[in-house]
Amino acid sequence: MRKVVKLEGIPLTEGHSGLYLEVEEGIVKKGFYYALVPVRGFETLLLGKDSRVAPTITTRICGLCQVTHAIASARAIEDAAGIEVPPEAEKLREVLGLAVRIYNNLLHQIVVSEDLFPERREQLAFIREVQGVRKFAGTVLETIGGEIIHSPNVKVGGVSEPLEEFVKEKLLSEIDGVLEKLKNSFSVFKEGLEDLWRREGLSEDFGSHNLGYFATDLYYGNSVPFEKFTFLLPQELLEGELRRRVTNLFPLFDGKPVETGPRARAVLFKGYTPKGGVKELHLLRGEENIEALLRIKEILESSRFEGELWNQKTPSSDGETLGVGVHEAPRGTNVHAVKVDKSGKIVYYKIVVPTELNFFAVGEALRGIPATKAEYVVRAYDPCIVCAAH
Amino acid sequence: MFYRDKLSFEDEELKLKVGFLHFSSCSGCQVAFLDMFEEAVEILDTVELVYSNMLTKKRDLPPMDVAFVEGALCIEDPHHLHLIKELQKKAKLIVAVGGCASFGGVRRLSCGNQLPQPQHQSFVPITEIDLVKSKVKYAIPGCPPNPSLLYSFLLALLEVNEEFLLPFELMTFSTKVSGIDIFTEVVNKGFCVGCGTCSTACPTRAITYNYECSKPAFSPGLCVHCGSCLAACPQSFKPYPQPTYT
Repeated sequence: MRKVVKLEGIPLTEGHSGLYLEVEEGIVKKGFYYALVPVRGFETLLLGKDSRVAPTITTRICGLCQVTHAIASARAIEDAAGIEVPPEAEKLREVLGLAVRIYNNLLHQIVVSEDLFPERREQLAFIREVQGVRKFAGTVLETIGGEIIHSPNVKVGGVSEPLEEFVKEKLLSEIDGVLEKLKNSFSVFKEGLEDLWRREGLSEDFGSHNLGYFATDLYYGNSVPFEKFTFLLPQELLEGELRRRVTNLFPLFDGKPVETGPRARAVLFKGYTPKGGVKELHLLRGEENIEALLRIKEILESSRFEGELWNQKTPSSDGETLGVGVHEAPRGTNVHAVKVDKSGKIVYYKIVVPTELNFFAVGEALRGIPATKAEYVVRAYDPCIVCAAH
Repeated sequence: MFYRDKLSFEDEELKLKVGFLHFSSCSGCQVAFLDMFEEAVEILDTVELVYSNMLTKKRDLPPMDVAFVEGALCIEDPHHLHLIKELQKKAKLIVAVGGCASFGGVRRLSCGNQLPQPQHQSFVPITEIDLVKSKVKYAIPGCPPNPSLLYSFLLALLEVNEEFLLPFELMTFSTKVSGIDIFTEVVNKGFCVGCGTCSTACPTRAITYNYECSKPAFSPGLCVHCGSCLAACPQSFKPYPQPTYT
């Protein structure tokens, strides 16, 4: 007999979300994952505002991967208004994006550590180790972006403050020590993950699906044809009271549901062969941290960031050109699209965040797993519900 | 101490029970708590975290001594209305953390009309809800509040350092939180000494320092109404009770 199970509030994830499961003999036959936090209306509140304030306001969509929204927003407006950005500023933004990737992926490790380490002492020791690395990522965000959370230095046209050479040297001198710490904490994390899989009796391909992958770049982000995105309303997809309550849209790329995130980046740009299952998501996320740190080192070593990094040209466009800004956020590809009028005011704004794209992937991954283990699939995708209901 | 009542004594360990709730916000304030880095681990060890969607496995709200609340309440969301009633029953003391919970913050700009829930448009800060007004004792400004400020606040709360907590108590009654209030309340009243503290406190750089006239300069478009500037300004507490010297 088919039963319907609705879970509300998934612990150890960000925000208030829900699961709809159709269960037959304890196995999930059909699953949906959705957001239940209120829509804050970032797309409508920006209309009529000066486009130069957009990065500062959109960064407040999310408190976990703050700077990715600022970067995507700034790039979208630059694209719409044809503003050239100094190449050094783009590099500095890439560093910011990678720092937030480390900062946020490690935050996810802290959040799921409750699952991994049943013993409190072990858990706190792990958190302490991870916090050491997050502190460095926080320092990078603060020195380049201006603040750890909600960086104000990312502007339309570049980055408002240069990075002094002696500050850069100081950051570089710390990187090797941090890399060591990061590798240590990752090996502890891997052991915990193996333990969890053994303890719960989960198989290696637990939570697999056969959707396509979507990513634009390994580190920073390349343009995407925005017209390929279509959106399904909860009313078209769900039934009953959920039609009224669900607060996110379900985007499709090229008419198909896709997965984005660390696995998509690895498959499309590193030639990785996916094994299926959600365990590798945790592992690939950890590997991305190490790669991101090495990339930060490479960028900081190869360039100088002194002098003017900000093209302060007033954005202005015809109100018809769609500017698309893409940034590879920790959870996947973050896309902002904007239209700017002659006086520089925003006349259209649309945001597609990675968690929104991944709702379908989570739903597909739930198929065929025991209903009692559904939460492990959700947590592996590291959903950011506030982003999804921006 | 407010939390050492009969209820707590019955428990074996006398640990402050802390919960973290979020209404309509970005979770940044909760992350700011974790940005105390190593100190955050110490705090997780000294207090008992009884509820947080991100860090505990609890589904229901347990009784708690101090509830840290971030975000504004959306009137159109039934879940929020349920949550605020639960909060009123379960929490002994509420601390509004960050601009959204204390003064509305960036939620003040929201105007609704966005799919799939166009009716979500009224966002009320926790300090203005009558149901919990008597329990909201402190408001911490900032978008997000500085991690070291949060650390000092927690220490002061544990030690009941009332002198340190007084400004946060006064903040719950404050509605003057934007950069324009710096001008009406401080600059135009002749209190501004040009120290530049407001410009360093501003998390969006909406307030900059004008070196020509040694006064702050304000770009209203960037302001997110978080209250950092007035909380930081050494002159803005003038209307409040001042210490008397005899």
